[in-house]
Amino acid sequence: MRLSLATPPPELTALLDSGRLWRGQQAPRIAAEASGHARLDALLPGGGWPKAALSEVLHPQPGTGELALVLPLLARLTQAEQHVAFVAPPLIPYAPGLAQGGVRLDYSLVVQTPNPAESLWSAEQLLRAGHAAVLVWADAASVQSLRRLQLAAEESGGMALLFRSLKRAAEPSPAALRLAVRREHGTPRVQVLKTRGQAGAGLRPVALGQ
Amino acid sequence: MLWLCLDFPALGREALGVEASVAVLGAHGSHRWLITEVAGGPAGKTLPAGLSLAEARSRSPELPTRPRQPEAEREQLEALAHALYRFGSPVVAEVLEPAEPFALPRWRVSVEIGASLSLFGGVEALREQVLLDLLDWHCAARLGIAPSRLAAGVLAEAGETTPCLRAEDLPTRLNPLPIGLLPWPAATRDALASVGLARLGALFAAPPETLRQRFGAEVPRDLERLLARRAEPYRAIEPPPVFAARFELHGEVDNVETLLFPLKRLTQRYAAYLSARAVTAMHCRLELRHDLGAPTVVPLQLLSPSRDAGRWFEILRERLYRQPPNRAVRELHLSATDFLPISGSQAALFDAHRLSRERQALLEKLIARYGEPNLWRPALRGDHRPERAWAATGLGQPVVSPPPLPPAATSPLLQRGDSSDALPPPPAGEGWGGGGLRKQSTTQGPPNRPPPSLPPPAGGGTHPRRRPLWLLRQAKPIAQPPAEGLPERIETGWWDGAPAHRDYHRVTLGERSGWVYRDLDDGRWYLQGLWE
Repeated sequence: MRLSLATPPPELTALLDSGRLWRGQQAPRIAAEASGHARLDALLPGGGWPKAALSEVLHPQPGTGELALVLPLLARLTQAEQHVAFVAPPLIPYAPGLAQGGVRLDYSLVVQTPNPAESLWSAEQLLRAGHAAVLVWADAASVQSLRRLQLAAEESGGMALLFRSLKRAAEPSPAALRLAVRREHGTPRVQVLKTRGQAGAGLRPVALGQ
Repeated sequence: MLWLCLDFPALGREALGVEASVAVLGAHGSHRWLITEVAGGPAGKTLPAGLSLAEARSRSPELPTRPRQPEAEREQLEALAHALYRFGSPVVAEVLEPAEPFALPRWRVSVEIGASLSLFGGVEALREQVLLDLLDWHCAARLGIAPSRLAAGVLAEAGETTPCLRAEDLPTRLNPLPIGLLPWPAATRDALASVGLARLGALFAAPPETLRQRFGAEVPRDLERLLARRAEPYRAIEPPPVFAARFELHGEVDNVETLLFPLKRLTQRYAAYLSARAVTAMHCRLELRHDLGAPTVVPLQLLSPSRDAGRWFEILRERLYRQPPNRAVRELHLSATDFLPISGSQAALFDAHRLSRERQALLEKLIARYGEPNLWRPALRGDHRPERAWAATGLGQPVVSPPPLPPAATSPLLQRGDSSDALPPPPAGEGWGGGGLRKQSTTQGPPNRPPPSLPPPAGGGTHPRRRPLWLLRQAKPIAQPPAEGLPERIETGWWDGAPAHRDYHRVTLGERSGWVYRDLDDGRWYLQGLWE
């Protein structure tokens, strides 16, 4: 039995809009930033990268498509004058390519660190100092250090994006979102391995793009 | 005049940075004695200042000792004087001590506060602020306020914390105090005591002429100064035009932890100096001196001006952790020569206007930790050679748009207007390399002709041709890949000794999409970037 109101009374609308009403049937709203890839966003709760959370991007090797995956997000954040950071990227994030993708370079920072432990520490600090998104490459990361990163993201409201090898897919992770990027027929495709709440985990990979 | 005097009873020890259980020794001829009191003697007993070393050793055989260092005391006292500068002027720093065995030095800083009382909201508020400021210095201090410098010092030493604001109240306040509070030689004090003059009140009551004849001219003179009836000569502390401070270590130190205390001390002095001069700064220079060889120099540059001791300390500490000195350190020097006015300092910010304080402090810390080359912003450069079309810009450098491109033999950058460039790259194999890409014309002048001075193309810094997101540090030789699409030809650099004659392709390399080129000079293939 489902109750349906053609036009809900304005009081109810106001209450719903204020977000103070808890509705049993509805999954909790997850604050998210659209990834800029329509087919992926359709699979994600909240419709994108979860805010104030750790997300993991697993890929077989550098250059599989992981940067194309996050490029629209970086473009949107930096154009809104938010700071983003690349911590310990395996190759040089190439300024001309980033700029063509719409990334504002003066809001992008690269930090090179001596080891993964330092990378994770730096990422945590960068989040706490107010970077909107911190991309960190640290393949060997303990669950404990991931929790710290998750906590830093939660407390700062920023997004931690951790890039690791696809081999780590079997390892437990406190990340709110886990994505795998692979290439099929020369095109990067992304698969949702884990999300909070409902939705697209385990479905077949989707292509990047609008 | 109204003087605020701070008396620092343990400065002889604090200047050395040693613990309270260490005896700091004065020396005169063969005499050795404790110039400050020593805590934690046998059974927790305190050894009083003035005790001879022999007596102290008999009570505490294991007593660690250090000779006093008047130079270090003076520097520490001057730093404290700088810190007090904000409360008024003149500021006077003095060490009062008769040159005789068993003399106890008095370390004092006095500041004339009469003119600044209203600024700070009255004498009580000012006093509280001084004590608050002193908390950072971790030093023992007693404070006195009186119309003469000497009386302020006497009140401070006597623990008389209530300010004496009027000269006419001085006799009443000073009458009951012992004459030992005046910095007179032992002989004078003994002679006064032998005729029963033990309190200052008794001296005030005695005829000055008699005092002069029996005990010397300095006794009535000092009493007049004490009561603010005679001018007190002083040498005001003026911060020098450049900053230099040093800290001599007791023995050689080769671990960073042990260097942190002196470092904290030096950065605190630096901040006090900046405050005294009412300036701010963006750099300083730390020198670690060794017994042998050239000193280790640590230059430090901030992203924005700072007068905060804690910030300077944090960054220097990170630097030392990252690059510990490779030899034992004997002495630390901190110096600075360039300062900025506080008001104009905003103009010195490059990148900083967009940085929150917090973010900036973190970036400085990361720079100190990983080294300046390891923190950068990607930037565009006007060059057709892909490896030179970008730059790693340091954070202290202004973010500039790239200069106009130099003319190239081929001009792929002039091929503009392809609106599809604003979209993400279409997947390889789906028409990529069709309409958008075509072989560049190769109209080229004689190789040694200087570049023609044509006006550069408008917006020359942008790249209308698609560029990948990843670049390899160095192009890697690869086997010839299967050809896909038409190449983009880049022929340039013939005038600056790094010529490039290359045909670029986008090719699939296993799980990746590679940006490869064939070097037209050696005919070999190289991987230079990855697209996604």
